[in-house]
Amino acid sequence: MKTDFLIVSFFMAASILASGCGKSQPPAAPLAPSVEVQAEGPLPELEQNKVEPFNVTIPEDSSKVQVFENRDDDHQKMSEEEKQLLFPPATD
Amino acid sequence: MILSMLRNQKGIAILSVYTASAFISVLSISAFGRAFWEARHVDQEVTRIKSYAAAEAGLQRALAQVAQNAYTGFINTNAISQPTFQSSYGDTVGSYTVSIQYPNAADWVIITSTGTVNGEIRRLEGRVFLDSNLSKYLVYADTGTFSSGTGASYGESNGVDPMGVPANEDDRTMMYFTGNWSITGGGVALYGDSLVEGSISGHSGSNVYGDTYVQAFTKNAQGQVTNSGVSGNMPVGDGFSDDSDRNNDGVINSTDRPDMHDLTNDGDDDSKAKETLVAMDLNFYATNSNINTFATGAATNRYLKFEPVSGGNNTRVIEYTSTNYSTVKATYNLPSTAIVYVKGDAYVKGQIQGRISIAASDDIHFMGDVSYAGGQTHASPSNSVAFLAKDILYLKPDNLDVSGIMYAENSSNASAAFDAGYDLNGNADTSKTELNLYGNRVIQGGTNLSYYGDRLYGYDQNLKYYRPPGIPVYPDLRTVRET
Repeated sequence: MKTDFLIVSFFMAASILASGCGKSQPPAAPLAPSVEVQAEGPLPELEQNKVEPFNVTIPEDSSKVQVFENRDDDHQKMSEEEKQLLFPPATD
Repeated sequence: MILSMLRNQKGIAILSVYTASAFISVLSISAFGRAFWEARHVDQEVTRIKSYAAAEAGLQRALAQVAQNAYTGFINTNAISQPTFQSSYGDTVGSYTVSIQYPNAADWVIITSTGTVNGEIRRLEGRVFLDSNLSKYLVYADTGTFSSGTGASYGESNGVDPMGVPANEDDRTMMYFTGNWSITGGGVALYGDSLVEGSISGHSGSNVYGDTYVQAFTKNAQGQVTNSGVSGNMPVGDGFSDDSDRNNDGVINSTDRPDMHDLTNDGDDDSKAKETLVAMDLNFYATNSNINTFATGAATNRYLKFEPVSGGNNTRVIEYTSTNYSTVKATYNLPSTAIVYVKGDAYVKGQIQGRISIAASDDIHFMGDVSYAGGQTHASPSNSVAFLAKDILYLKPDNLDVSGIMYAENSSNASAAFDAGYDLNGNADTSKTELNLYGNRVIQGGTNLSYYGDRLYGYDQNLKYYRPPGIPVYPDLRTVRET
């Protein structure tokens, strides 16, 4: 009888131990941000957002001055009034 | 011993307890194992999601890089490497690398982004379509009313389909007018589609072999067409039975106004969407010219002839002293992809080899034929050209063939941005023989090209793909797939 009691006790303890293994881990700690987020204000700048200007392989020459203008020395240009008199009506 | 236990009630009870306990133990152990496996699996999935996010971040950054210079037509294909990709909390999660391919410098960019997190690698491929309204329309005219005169021929019949235009509208020639399109005479033919923000004033002796998309198009609540937007009893049709029974009378006929559509802001239903021309930045050409002499100093007229470099893939520019092209002033060998900016007027003729954009701070004068190497009239992966004038494009010879993208910004607000009213010596000449253009025309204002008796405005679809340098594009991400 004593032996029986010991055997039963061993199996009961073993089954309780086995079934309790899943709960043996301590409960998960509540999630907390590793970086404290401010309620207001700018977000911290992330490394991948720091975009460097891209190097484009186009030769630049800032010394060139761009002037777009209609010059007086263009003898081939007539005024619109002159064209009206000289040129017949035209289309595309 | 077991047999002796089975002979009494206590023994059976004990065995029952043993069995139950063993069963519960096995059940518990297997449940625990399953939970452990699931947790491990979730960890792996989280890692995979993180590596996907890293790859996606690389794709987004590459898109930004492509878009950054797209307005100039240049695509930055430099590879990207980000060894420390961070989470929103600033923790290092993994890394990504990106490669960018631009095959044939054509109309697609292929972006391959690889994200790596804890050894888990995921790869995304994005395909970006480069769209340009400067190189896709046969004519883009920004003016109140654009007039087409007797005999003007826009596009050419493909000789295969019923009306000479393909069923796929994406493959058709297109013309775009920001105002009205007025066809003032007979014999005008368009082999393609027209998009008109105003209305079309047609001519019964002319034809549109294609579809019309006109903002003046209206329907009533029953779907009946109340205004087709096309007047003048001009035949319109692409020859395909792809129309709907708009008035629901059980038959598709002329009352349904087949092949006539609306032009809307969003292009819904069977309409097409309005488009705004990207403004050209000619300063870009000034600061990136391959011939420094032409771009600096006082504004000067340059008399230029282009010829292919024998055995090469580039063009030689021969500068002459005057319009009679008799005395050579200088020669320049361009790279295969080049920009020639002239501060002043550019007088041009010859053959183009390579991809070249010629821009002028004032006017461009065509003094003779312009074609590609070997006399080819259409662009190819190797050869294409654009002529970009801040003011007027003058077309001077009695017979003239020109290939390429032609752009006249008409800064002087003249009545004709494409002007054929002068001869080679600059004297008035309003009676010319034949004009053949192969490419795209972008016109701020009108033209007077009807001074040429015969006019063919041929469409060069290749210019959509093989653009010369500096033509603005819209990058449009069309597909993303995991590879």
